[in-house]
Amino acid sequence: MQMRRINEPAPHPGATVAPDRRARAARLDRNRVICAIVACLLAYGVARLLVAGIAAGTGGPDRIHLGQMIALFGLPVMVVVGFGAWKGHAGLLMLGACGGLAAGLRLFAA
Amino acid sequence: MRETLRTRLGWLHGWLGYMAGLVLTCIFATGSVAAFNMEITRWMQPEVQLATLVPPSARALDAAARVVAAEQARGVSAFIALPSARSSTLDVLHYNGHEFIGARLDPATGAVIPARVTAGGGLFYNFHHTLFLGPQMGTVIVNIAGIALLVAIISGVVIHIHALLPDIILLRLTAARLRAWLDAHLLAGVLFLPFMAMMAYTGVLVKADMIVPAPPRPARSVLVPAPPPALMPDMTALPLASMLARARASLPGQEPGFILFAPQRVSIFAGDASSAFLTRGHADFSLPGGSPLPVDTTATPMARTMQFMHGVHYARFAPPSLRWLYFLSGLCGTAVMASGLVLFVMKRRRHAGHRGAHRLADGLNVAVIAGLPAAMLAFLEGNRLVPASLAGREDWESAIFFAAWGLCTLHALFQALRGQAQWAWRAQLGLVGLLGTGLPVLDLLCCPGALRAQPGLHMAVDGMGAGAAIVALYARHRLGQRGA
Repeated sequence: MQMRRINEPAPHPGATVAPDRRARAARLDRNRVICAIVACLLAYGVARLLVAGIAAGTGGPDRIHLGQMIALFGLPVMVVVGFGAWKGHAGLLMLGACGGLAAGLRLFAA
Repeated sequence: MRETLRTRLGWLHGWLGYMAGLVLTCIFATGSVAAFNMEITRWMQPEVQLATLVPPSARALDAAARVVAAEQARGVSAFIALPSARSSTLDVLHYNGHEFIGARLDPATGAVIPARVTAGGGLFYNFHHTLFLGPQMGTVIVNIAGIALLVAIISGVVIHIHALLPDIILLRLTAARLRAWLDAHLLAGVLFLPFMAMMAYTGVLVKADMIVPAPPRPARSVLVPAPPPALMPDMTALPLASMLARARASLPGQEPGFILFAPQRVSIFAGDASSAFLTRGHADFSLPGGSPLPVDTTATPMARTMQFMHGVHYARFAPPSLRWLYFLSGLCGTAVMASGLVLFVMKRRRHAGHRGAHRLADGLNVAVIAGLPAAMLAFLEGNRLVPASLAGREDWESAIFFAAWGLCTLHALFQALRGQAQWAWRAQLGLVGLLGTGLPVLDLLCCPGALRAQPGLHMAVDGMGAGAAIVALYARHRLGQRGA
């Protein structure tokens, strides 16, 4: 191994650290974008299933209105939860569970 | 960087808030102005100088029916709008794809008032709920923006939940610029959080059938061919005055607002100003005899709740004081969004200020925050400058609005992409100041009679223009003091 002279400037730390940091930040951003899109799509799907589940049966327009009120109240909350609870994709799993419940509600009512 | 709930939701709040905020600022600004859509239409028709509310006479109703018949002969589906506290004329209106336009009649005599045709406050109302992009695409964009607003509100509350109360009393205008903008964003955001959340939620509920439609139900019977379209009976022989009296009796506590015509029936609907519940209760009469038809007007609690949600969003029941509150709250909501847009760009300036995307964002901010008010003022001034007898002048007015905004956007983007966004800010804020101060002068010069007949209305609209000018010139002054 060649010894570095004592008066030779040390390599700039940014030269090696910055690209790594930038790559990490880019990866984080990419993961966040994907997670946000998946959370939005899942939340919207759950909202649609909720309306279908609550409106199923013979309730008429009242149940449709009730389903829409609950779904539109829950939709932004589900997006925030799906995106915010990121550890182990807990939020997305929760949304999936909600979707399963809503689908079950529809099957049960039908 | 360590990933926490706050950093993650901060990222969501920033990016989603910025992308939706560009549209939401326009929606909130035009929605706030649309709280006075009928008053603006009255301001834009200075020939109509009826100040007092007069119930429509039988003669006037017959004259209106003749106008409806003439419109129907031209293939235009028109209806009658009865005089109300906000509009004292008897109107025969039709939808031209963007606004309700038509003849204005004197409710006492039935004489047609030779008022200029105008896009009126309907332009702001239409822009608010469709962005002028048509009922399909525009409404979808507005709906997505509405949901995004709710997401931004919830994520914003989670980010600042530990400091919601201190945020109400902190405004450090003399602090560093970023801190001052953040304080203003938080202060207005916390104070008007209930209003913004209410408007966003009721707004998406208005279009709930489009966002989360109910699943289609299976058809019960085989399809039968639709009957051929029936011909409209002779409208000029209808006893509208007696129908109106009977409708008034069958709509207790509600004042009739509209008369709609169908081949087999005439429907008299309650006006939207009757109560906070947008009931659309109606009394139907058969044609051509005019005998009352049975109508079930009972509403279930859920239907009443939905009617209330609609009523609270449209605010047509609101007396003038509450309407002003809606207007001012809407402006403060607009300020929250506009300050959020500025903050988003400002926070990233040090690291990304040299990038084209950052400059583009800066230019779009100028176009939305300064360009839109300039276009709105140009639209109002265009009403005074476009000849009153010009055919299709409502389209000219709309064209002035969009042309002014388009030019402002081009100017802002050109300057921002050159790295000179502060020039665009200064120029366009100056333009708002010029147009705003010019509005009362132009109104006084072009329509002195209308100003004398309805001083309150004209002072309010002109005053709003002057107010916008003062705010814009103050902002321009501050911008000059503190540099880019």
